[in-house]
Amino acid sequence: MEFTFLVLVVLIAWLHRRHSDRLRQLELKTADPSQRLEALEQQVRDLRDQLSGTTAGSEPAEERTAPAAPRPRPPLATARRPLDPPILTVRSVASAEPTEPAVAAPASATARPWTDRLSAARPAAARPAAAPKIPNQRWTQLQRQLVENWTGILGSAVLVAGITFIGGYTGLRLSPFYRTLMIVAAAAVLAGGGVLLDRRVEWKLLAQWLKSSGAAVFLFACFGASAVPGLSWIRDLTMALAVLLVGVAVNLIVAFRARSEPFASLHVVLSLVPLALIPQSELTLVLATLVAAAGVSLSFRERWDVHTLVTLGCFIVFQAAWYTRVFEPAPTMQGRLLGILTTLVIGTLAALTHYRASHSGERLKPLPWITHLASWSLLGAGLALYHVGNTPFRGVALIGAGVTVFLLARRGRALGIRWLYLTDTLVGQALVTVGVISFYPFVSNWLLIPFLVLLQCGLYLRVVLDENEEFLIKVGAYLVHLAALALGVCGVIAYQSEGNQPTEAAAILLGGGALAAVIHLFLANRRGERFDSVELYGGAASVHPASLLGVLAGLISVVGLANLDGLRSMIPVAFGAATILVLLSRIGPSAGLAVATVLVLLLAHFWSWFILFDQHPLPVLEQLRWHLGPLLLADTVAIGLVLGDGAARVLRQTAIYLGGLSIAAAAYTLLQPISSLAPSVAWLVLSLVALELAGRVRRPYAGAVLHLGFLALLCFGAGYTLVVLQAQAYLGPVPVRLLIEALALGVGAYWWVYRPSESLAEVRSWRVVHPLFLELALAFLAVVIAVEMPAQWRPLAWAALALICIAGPLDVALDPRFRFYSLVFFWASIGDLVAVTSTLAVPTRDWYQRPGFSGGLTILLQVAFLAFGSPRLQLAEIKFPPGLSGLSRLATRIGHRQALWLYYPFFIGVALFLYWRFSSAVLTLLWVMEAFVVFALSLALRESHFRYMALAGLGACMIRLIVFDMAEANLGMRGLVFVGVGGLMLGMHSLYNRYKSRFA
Amino acid sequence: MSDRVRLAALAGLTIAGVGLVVAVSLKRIGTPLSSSLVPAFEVIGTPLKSLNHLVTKVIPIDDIDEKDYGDVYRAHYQVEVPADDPDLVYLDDLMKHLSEYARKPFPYRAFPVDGDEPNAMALPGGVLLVTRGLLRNLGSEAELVSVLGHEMGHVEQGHCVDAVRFELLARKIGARPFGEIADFGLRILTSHSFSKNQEDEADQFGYTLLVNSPFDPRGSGRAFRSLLQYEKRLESGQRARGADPFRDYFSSHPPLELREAAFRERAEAWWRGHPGQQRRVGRQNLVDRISTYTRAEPDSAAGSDGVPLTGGAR
Repeated sequence: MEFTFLVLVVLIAWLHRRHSDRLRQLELKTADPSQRLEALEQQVRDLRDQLSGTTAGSEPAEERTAPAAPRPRPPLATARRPLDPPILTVRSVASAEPTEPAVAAPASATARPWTDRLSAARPAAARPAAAPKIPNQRWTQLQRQLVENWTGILGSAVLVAGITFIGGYTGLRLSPFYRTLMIVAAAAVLAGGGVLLDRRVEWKLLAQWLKSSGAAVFLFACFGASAVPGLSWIRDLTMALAVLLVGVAVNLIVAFRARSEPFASLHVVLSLVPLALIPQSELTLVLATLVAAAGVSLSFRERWDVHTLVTLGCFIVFQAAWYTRVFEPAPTMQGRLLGILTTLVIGTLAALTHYRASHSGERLKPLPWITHLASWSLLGAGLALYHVGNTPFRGVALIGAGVTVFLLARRGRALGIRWLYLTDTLVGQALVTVGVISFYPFVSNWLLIPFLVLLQCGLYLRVVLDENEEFLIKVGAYLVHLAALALGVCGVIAYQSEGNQPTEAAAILLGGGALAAVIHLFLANRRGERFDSVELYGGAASVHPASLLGVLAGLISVVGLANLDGLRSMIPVAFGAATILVLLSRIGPSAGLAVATVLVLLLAHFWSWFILFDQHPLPVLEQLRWHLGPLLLADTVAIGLVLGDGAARVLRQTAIYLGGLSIAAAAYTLLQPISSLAPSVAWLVLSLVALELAGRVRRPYAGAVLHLGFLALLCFGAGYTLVVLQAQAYLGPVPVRLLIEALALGVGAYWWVYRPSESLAEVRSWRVVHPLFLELALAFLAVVIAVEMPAQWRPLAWAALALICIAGPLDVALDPRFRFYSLVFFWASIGDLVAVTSTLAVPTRDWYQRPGFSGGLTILLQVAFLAFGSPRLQLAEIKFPPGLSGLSRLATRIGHRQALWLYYPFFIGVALFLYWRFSSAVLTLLWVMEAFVVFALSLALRESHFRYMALAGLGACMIRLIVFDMAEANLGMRGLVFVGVGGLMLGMHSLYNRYKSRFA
Repeated sequence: MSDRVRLAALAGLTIAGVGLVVAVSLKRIGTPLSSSLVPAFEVIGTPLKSLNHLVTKVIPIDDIDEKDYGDVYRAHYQVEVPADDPDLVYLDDLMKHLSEYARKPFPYRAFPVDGDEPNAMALPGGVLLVTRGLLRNLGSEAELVSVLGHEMGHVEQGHCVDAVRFELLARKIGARPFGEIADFGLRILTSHSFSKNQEDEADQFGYTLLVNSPFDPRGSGRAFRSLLQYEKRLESGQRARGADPFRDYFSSHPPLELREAAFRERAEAWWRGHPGQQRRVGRQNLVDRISTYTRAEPDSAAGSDGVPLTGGAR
C-alpha cells in the first residue's frame, strides 16, 4: 500500500507541477499583445480573402458602437507531441480554422478605426445577433486544463488508487499469488486501454497516461510479489529479483518508448525506487547503475538535460544510501572498486551526452552546463568517496581522469562546442590539481605538493597558450598566481613549523621561485609582461609594468631563503638565487624578475646585517666568507648584469644602496672589535669615496651613491656622538679624538669645496644639502671647540675663529657667508667671556693659566675684530641658501645698524667682565677707561649714540666714585682711582675740544 | 679648486683617514664604554649651565651671603664632630693647604661624617663633608686630595650657591620658604640638563688643583677607579652598558668609567710632559691619617712611570 501511495503522490505532484508550468507559459504567451495583434491581423487578412466583394458600410451603426467585445484568444494549439507545451503559432491556428467564429471583434471599435472596417467586412451570418457574453478567461483556461490534462492525470491517479483499494479489498479474500495476478491484470487492463486509445489522436495523451500507469502498477506487482506484506508469495531471492527485474525492464521499455522527457524520467526514477527498497548488496548497486545508465543513455537520443539531471540526482541519492548502508559499515576492496566503477560509468556517460554534433555552435546555457558539471561532480565525488585508502592510486586516478577530461575538452573544441571546451578544460585542470594534492601523504616534504601544483598550472598555461583561448589563458594566469602565492604561504608555514627541514624546504621553495620565473618568462614572451601585471586584475600598470608572477618568484625565493635561517649557507645561497634571477631577467628583459631580485637582495642584506649585529663580534673570516663577501658579490651581479630600464634601474639603485650599506656595516662589524674608534674614521673615508664615485657615475645612479656618502657622514655623526666623544686616549702626544675631529673637519671642508659633475649637480639632494655643508662644517667646528677647549680659553677660541672667518681668503675666495658667521662667533666669544670666564675659578698659581689672562687676550682679539673685521662685514649683501632664508633677513637687518650690533655687546661684555673679574677698588677707574674708549669711538665713527652712552657711563662712574670709592679704606688706592678718573675726564675734554666739529 | 689640488686633498685625507684607522687599530685604542650619550648631553648642557650661573650672578647676592649660609653648617658640624677626631684633624691639615688654591674668601673646612658608602659633598660657604667610607675606600692621599679638590670646585664654581640662590635672596626680605621653593622647583626642572656639566667642571678643578699641588696627578683617575671598584663590588661586576638616552640624560654625574679614563689619560699625558718630576702619592699617609704636609719624610712618591720612588706602599 505504501508503495502505491508513494507512486500516486509522486505522480500527482509531478503532474501538477508539469501542468502548472504549462499554464504559466500559456498565460505569458497569450498576454503578449504583439502576438495577439499579429493573430488578429492574420485573421483579418483571411476574412478579407473570404469576403472579397462584400461592400463596405453595410454594418449597422450600433455595431460600430457596440461595447467592446471580449479579447480574442487564439485556441490552444494541439502540440505535435502530446505533452509538449502548446505553442501559440498564430499563423497555423488561423490557417487551420480560417473562419473560426470564436475570433471576436476587436477590443475597441471606436479607438481603432481599421478594426471598424474589419467588423464591417465580417459577413452578417457570422456575426452574433447580440453582444456576446464575455466568458471568464480563467474559467476557460481551467476548463481546458482540466479536460486536456488533468482529466488524464487525475483519471490515472484515481484509477491506480481504485485498483489499489480493490487490491486491498480482495487481499482479504484471495491468496497473495492471486492478489498479485489481480494487480498484474489491472496493469494489463490499463496498458491495454492505453494501447487502444493510442490509435486516436485526441486520446493520445490519455493513452500515454494509461500505459504509464499500467507499467507503474506492474512494477508494483513485481515488487510486491516478494517485498510487500499481503502480496508477497515468492520466497526464493533469485526468483524475487528476477520478477522485480522484469518489472524494471518493462518500465525502462516504457521510458525508452516515451516520446517526452517527463515520462522517460518518471519511469527511470520508478525503476530505481524498488531497487533502493530491497535489501542492499553489491548486486543492487550494479543493477541501479545499469538502470541509471539506461536512463542516461536516453539523452543521447534527445537533448534531455532535465532527464539527465533527474537521473543523475536519483543515482547520487542511491549511491549515497548504498554507501551509508552497505559500504561504510563494512568497506571492502570489491565494494570500493565497484563504487568507483559505477560513478565513473554514470558520470562519464552523463558528461558524454553533450559531446555530440547536435550541440555544435551552441552558446552556454545554464541547464546543460549545470548537468555537465553535475556529471563531473559525480565522477569526482565517487573517486574521492571510494578512495583506496592512503595509496597513490587515488591521485593517479584523479590525474588520469583529469587528463582524460582535459583531452575530451579538446574534442569539444573540435566539435565547436565552446562552452563544453572551456568547462571541461577547467574541470580537467581541477581534477588534476586535486589529484596532485592527494599525493600529500606520499611525499617526503609536503612543500612538494604546492610546488607540483605550480608546475601543473604552468603546464596547463603552456597548453592553453598554444590554443590561444583568451579566457583559458587568463584563468591559467590566475591559477599560476594562486599556486605561486600558495607555495609562498606554505613556505612561511613551513618556516614556522617545528619539524621543518630547512634545507629541503629551501631547496623546494627556491626551485619553486625558479619555476615561477620560467613560467613568467614564457608567458611574458607570448603575451608581453603587461598581460601578467596588475592589469590582469583590473589595475592600472605603470609605464614599466612588472609581472606579478615575476614578483611572486622573488617572494617565493625570499621565503625559501628565510627557511635557511640559522644556517651559514643562507647568504651564499641568496647570492646564487639573486644571480639566477638576474640572469633569467636578461632573457626578457623582465621587470618582474628585477623586482624579484630586489626582494631577494633586501632579505639577504637585512638578514645578514641582523646576524652581524646580533652576534657581534663574529670572527672576521666568518663575516667575510658567509656574509659580506656573498652580499657584495650579489650587489655587483645586480649592478653589472641586469639589463633594461625601469625596474632594472630600481634594481641597480637598490643594489647600490645595499652594497654601500653593507660596506658601512662592515666598517663597524670588522673594525669595532679591534678599536671602537676605527669605524667612525672609516665612515669618513667612505664618505669621500662615495662623493668621488657620485661625481663619476651616470645620472640615475649618482643620487644613490651621493646618498651613501651622506649616510656615511651620518654614521660618523652617530659614531662621534656615541663613541668618539668619550675617547680620552692619546696617539702620541695628541689626543686621538682631536685627530679624528681634525680629519672630520677636513672631510667636511672637502665636501663643501667639491665641484660636482653635471650629472651630480642635477641631483636634487645635492642641490639642497650641499650648500649647507658650510654651516655643517662650522657647527661641527663649534662642537669641537666646545669639547676640546678648556673653559677659560673657549672665548679666545671663538674670537680667533671670528677673526679667521672675516679674513680675506675665506669670505672672498670661498663664501661671503663666512662674514655673517664671524659675527656669530664674535657674539659667542662675548657671551662665553661674560658667562664663564668672568667668574671661572682655576686653582693655579701660573698667571698664564688664569682666566683673567685668557679673558684679556679675548678682549684684545675682540678689539682686533672690531677694528679690522667690522668694515668688511657688509652683512646686507650676503645671500644664504634657500633653507636658511631667515638668516638672510637677519643679516640684512643687522647690516643696517651694524655698529649697534657690534659695539654694544662688546662694551657690555667688557663692563661685566671687569665687574666680575676685577677688584671693586679699581672698578670705577676701569669703567671710566671704557667710557673714554666709547667716547673716542663716537668721534671715530661719528655716531652720537656712543657719545651719549659714554657720558651716561661716565655719570654712573661719578656716582660710584662718590658713593663707593670715597669710602675706600685704602687711601692710596682711593687717590689712584681719583687721579685716574680725573685724568681720563680731562682727556675726554681735550678730545671734545679738538674734534668739536664732528659733533655738529 | 683645480683638479690637481682637489685630488691632492682627497689623497691626503684618504691617507690620513686610513692611517688613523690603522693606528687606532694597531694600538687597539678603545673607549671606556661601548657607547654613551653623556658627553653629548654635556656639550648640549654647556650653554644651559652658563645661563644658569649667569642668573646667580645677576641677582643681588654675594660671597658674604654664601659665607653666612655656610657658617651655620660649619657651626653644626663643629659640634657634631669631636675636635680630636683623627679624621677631622687629618682633613683639617689637608684643607689648610688646599684652601690656598681657593679664590672665594671662605674658611674651607672638611668634616668626616658617618657612612660606609664612599661619598663626599660640598655645601655653600666652603663646608665639605666626607664619609668615613670614602676614607676607607680610597687608596692614597692623592686620591683624597683629588676628591676634596672636586668638592672645592663645586663651591668655587658657584654650583652650591646656584642651588640656594633664591633662598639666600629671600632671606634678605624674610621670605625664606618662598626662596627654598623656588630653588627646589628650578632644580627639579633644570638641574638634570647641566648637573653633569657642573660635575665635569668640579672634576677639572680637582684635577687642576692636583696638578698644581705636590700630589701625583694620577690621584684623580685613581680616585674614580677606587669608586668604580666599590660600585662593581656592589653590582657584582655587572657594569658593562651602552647608551641609554633616558638614563644618560637624567643621571646627575658622568659615568665613573669616563671620568676615570679621562683623568688617567690626562695624568699620563702630564707625566709625559714632566718626566723628571716627583709627586706625592701618600698611600700610608691616608692609612695613618698623617698628611704629607705634616709628615717629615714622604711616605710614597711617584715618577713618570707611576711607580713609587721612595718608601713604597707601606
